[in-house]
Amino acid sequence: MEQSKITTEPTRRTFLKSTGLGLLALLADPSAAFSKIQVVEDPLQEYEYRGWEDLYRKEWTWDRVQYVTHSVGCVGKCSWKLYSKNGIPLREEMTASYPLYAKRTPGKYTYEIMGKPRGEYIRYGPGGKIPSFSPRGCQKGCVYSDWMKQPDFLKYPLKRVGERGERKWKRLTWEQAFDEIAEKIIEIALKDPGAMVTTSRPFSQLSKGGSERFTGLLGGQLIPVSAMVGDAYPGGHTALVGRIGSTLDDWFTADLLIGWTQNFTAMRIPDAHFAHEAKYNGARIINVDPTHNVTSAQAADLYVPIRMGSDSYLAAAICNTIIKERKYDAEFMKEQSDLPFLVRLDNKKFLTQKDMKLGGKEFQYYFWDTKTNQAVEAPGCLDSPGDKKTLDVVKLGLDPALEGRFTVRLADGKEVECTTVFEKVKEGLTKYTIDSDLVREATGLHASVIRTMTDWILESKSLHITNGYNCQKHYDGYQSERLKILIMVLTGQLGGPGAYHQTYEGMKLEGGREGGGLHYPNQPARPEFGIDKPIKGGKQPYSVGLAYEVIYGEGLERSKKYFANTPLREQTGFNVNDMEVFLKDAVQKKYLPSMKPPRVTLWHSCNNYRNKTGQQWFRERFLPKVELLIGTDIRMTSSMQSCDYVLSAATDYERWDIRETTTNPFLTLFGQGVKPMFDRKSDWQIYAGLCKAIQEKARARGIKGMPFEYWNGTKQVRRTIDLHTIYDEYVQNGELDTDEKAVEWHNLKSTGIGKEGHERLVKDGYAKFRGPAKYGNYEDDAPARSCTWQVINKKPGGTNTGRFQFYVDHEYHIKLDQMTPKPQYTDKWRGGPQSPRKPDGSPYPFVMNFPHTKWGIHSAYRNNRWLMRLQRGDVYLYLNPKVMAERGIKDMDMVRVYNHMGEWYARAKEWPGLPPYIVFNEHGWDHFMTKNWTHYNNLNCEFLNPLELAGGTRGHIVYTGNHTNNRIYYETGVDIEKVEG
Amino acid sequence: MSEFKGRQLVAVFDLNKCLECHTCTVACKLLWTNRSGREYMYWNNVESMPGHGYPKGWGSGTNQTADGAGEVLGGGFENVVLEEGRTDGKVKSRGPVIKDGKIPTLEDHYGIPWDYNYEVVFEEGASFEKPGATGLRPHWQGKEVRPKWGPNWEEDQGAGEFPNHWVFSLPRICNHCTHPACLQACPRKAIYKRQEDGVVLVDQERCRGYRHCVAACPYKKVYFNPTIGKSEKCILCYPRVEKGVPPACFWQCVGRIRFLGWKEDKESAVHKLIYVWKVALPLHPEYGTEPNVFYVPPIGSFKFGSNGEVTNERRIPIEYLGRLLGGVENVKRAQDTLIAEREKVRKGERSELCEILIGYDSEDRFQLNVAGRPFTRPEEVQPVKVEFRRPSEDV
Repeated sequence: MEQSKITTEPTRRTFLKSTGLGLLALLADPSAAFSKIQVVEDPLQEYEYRGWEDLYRKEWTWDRVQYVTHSVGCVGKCSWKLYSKNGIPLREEMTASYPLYAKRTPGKYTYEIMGKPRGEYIRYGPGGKIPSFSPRGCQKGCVYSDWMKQPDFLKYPLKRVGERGERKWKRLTWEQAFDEIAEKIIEIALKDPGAMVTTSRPFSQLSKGGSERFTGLLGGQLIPVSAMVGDAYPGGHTALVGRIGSTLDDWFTADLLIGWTQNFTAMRIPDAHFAHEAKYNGARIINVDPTHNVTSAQAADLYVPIRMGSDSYLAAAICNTIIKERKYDAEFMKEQSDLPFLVRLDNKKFLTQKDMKLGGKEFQYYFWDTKTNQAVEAPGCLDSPGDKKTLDVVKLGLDPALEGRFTVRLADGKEVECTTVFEKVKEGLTKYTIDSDLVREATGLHASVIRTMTDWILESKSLHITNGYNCQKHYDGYQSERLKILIMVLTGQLGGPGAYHQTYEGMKLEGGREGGGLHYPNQPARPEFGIDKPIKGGKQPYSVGLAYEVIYGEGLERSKKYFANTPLREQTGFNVNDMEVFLKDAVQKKYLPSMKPPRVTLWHSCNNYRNKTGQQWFRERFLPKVELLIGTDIRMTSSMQSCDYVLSAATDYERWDIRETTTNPFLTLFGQGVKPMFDRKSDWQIYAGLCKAIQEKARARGIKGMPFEYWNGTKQVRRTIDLHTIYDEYVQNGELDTDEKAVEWHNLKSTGIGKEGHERLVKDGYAKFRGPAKYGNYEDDAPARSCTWQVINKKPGGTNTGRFQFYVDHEYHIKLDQMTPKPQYTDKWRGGPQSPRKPDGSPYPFVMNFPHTKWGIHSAYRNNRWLMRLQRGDVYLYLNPKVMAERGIKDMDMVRVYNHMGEWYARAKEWPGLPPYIVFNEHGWDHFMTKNWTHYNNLNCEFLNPLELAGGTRGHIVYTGNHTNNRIYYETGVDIEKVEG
Repeated sequence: MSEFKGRQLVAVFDLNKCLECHTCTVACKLLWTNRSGREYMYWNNVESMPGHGYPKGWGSGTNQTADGAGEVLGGGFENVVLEEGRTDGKVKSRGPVIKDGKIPTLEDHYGIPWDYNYEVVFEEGASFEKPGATGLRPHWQGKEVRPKWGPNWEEDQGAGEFPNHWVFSLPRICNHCTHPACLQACPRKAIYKRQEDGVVLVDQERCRGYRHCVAACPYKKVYFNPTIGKSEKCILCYPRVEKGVPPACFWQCVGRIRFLGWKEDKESAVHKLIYVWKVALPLHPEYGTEPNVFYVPPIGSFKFGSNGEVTNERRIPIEYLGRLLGGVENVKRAQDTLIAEREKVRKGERSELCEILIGYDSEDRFQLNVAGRPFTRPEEVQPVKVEFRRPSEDV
């Protein structure tokens, strides 16, 4: 190697030079080293000349250290310490002082089902304690200080001076930017109040809160980001409402942990040790995935190589076996689920009080009481009276029947035949047997694999299923998730000795979005976490579903072309025209919120193109409807390249903010490791600045409050948009004008934090929550397990039945015969995702899979030099070695991936862990890294599952940001070829 | 040469806990090797095994691929005889150091430290779906390049056929060997072993950059720094360790796979894992250097039969693990012990081994025992001018 080949990083030097601050003083001065002449006898014994050792000691010095954490769309909220010198971040190091808090007190966490004691439900294991969270972090967090110094990061506000996307920019001062944007927002607001839509991604209270607060005050709409990126759980919502997440130390308590559509070893790096350590606590691990991924290779005892997109068949076969062999937990099902509830055979609907009494209630259901041999009102339903808000049926002297047919006399004297939900579930699952051709062909799994998995499930005393975001990125995901939850209920595990994990959930802090606080101004704060009372009035932005992007991006027009030659209805029971009919019907019946055009569009720290199916199509159809496109971000992403104004936000190390999610029980601090560099501002201050400019202009023009109303999916909301007071409202008359004040205000409002917690947060970089969470408590000596309020405390859950619910009698479910959990495909389908056909009607040989990557948080970090050097340096995809040999593709050859809708390019990497039919790519690449600026998301299209459009005005089967269409990605058929490049 | 008689820090890496996240690598990179000619170096790296590894082809005799075919860089000692009946790689006798090991090249074996033309994202031009459009690309010495090798080039690749593909992660640092080949090979005697902790260091004043150490190390964990003309390597973060702070890659190992302590400390986790339970084995003891990083071998999942049925056989071939970790017999015994102890815990009984490997808290994994404490946090011994202030207090 030649000496001249290695030089100091030019970009880093340029960076330092441009800031006028010297880092080089820190580094060892190599010229100071001179050769020695002293004689050394035996260097294995004493070595005298060790004075030089200070060289490396001096490299380990700094002038400032401060707590920081990271946001960028990750759910980890790990606390770090940033070491800096002269205001330049140099490196970070994980905080590793989290307490070991979970120690067993024998007999403390016990429970009963149907009045019978069941023993302890937290399985600490023979060691009697759960490992600590120390340390928390990953390789991305560890490289943030380098990433944020890259030359693609924004330094000052920019204004587009050419055509959109032409990348001609003019530098603005903040005053100019605020002034120009405010002017345009006022013009549009006067013309069409509320015609604004925001996508907001980072999960920190002030950053996300600021963008949402700003949007809300302007009457704008919010795209629900989970649904937008395919992370929502609409199927799971029907069974247990929303997303549930225990703190992930709960994995350690498992004696069987199933990673299902979740590659947790790679995707939950800070918490994965709890899973690996669970094995030493007596657990087995199963990983279900089409690829032999890192979790399968490093963690699993049993790898289940399922065919992509057929998970519902596996889950159905397991459920069916448990039922057929009568190994289910009948007591648990009677108490905790709707499985004993009565369903009318004539109209397939639940038997309700409306049927039974004149003026009866809709969400009061019935089960058959075997003691009195009659249909009785089930306690704990949504419409049950106050004194019956319990699931403790034994206390009420009732014993529900799980099986049978019953004749019930209705209020009008008519007699109807009823059966139980359990009977309907059984009926739907009958044909999915372990050794059937149907299951084998669909899943590709040998019966012995499913049998082993089922046996392990049945042996388990603490079953945990961790279900990743990839589940509902498949068409199969909606029903697949209902079936996974059914496994948890048939085995009596969910919320009791076992747990179901959906990656994470927001903690619902009162000072945050949930109670009306930083995110949603003008709302009363709530007394504790997560009590779901309807929000009255207020100026929160309103959530519009994925349908918003489908409608304004004209997505279904593309889907029609995409599936033109595919006999979709034969296989799924509906085609794109049907999707369109369902969508129009849902809009007309107001199952969806009202929508206003995206005249003002705000992309807040959201690399929006990254997640759009058919994104070039989207760009061409959505952007012309946008009159003002504002981008706030930390770096010039491909999405920012299209914006009219690009606002340079402070990075995670330059702001004061906080972070919450349920992966762990700590609130973590963004402690402003360094002051904002260049001309950057915190997000909170950016939106404050915009509000101030709008208010001043509105006052100067004499603009008064404007009445404004919209349909939020369940009701008409009437409010005002007040441009002339928007700043006063944003900063709450000065109460929230600095980031520091806003954070403190938030924390003091949150009973789980409070004054004491806030002080600890500032002192330690994190503070542990105490008290109620969303579905269970944050205990001082146990993981926060979801669904324990329902199962342990017998408090009704959030579903219409107040229980884990497996029957949905919405008209769409009845129309498609999907009331109960079962695979949604028709019998003509025989495995593989529902991919499109070529124009000549023949199938594509491959399907594309592009899940999360451990090398980035979506597109964040995807171009960091150090992380790229640990990959292939270029955009790459994985292929099975046999496929490469057949196609004449060699390692690092450029491959064109294409179908009749689009193409993209990547270099080939061999992976024997990949089945031959998958073209695999870890997502997040920006266009500008790819040959011809192409993107894998130009090969797919929107796919709406009509079940996810189901809505109404009451109960839990209504529109919410989570119970709405989830973006489905993995139905993409492709072919490949080797190309030059 | 004589025997080392000083105190020795030893490490255990549990491969069943490794997440393959490379946080250790990045932690080391940002602390030590992102500057000054060290950019291409990985004092700590994680590689997917079987494979050619990093640098490509390290090893002596054969490389680390499944069939051992292809280039091998060499190094270590000749005629090594290990003491029988031991699992710690103790050498009974060894011949001379192998001096004709190959010095890896930047392009073929290490991989060039390529960079990116980040500024291009601000430059004028059409965006999206444009034939011929070029954007952010890997660059090296002013030109766009197609990288040929890197420190994690073969990630997840392994061997075998789907669904019986097998692979595991192998994190590697300098083994701070009891009898280092690098030390033996240095004609300047510029490499020494510290008596107080066994850390092997290249004297940055004495070294003249002859690179005999690079050739002789069979693990290829010494690197030549062309900017300063000297060799450098993992220093086990001695500035930290001497104050009781675990090295950056240990401290920030999120999988918590790393244990560190004194070889002779019978109470330490490392001692128990290596000498009592005998589940931690040295990497290639037959190279004769008596490495001080020990590995708990991976267990892996069950293999499938020809019809897709589950079998009782594990998918990682024991012969391969035996080749890496000192023989099939030792590996088999370690695996059997681990499986039996796990089964014991499954039945509700306590297991010292399992509890050690869980490593509940930091003091359970790190027993540096400086100033009477198992370990110290970095901020405790490294006071700096400004610490943990609110913005309003920090003016």
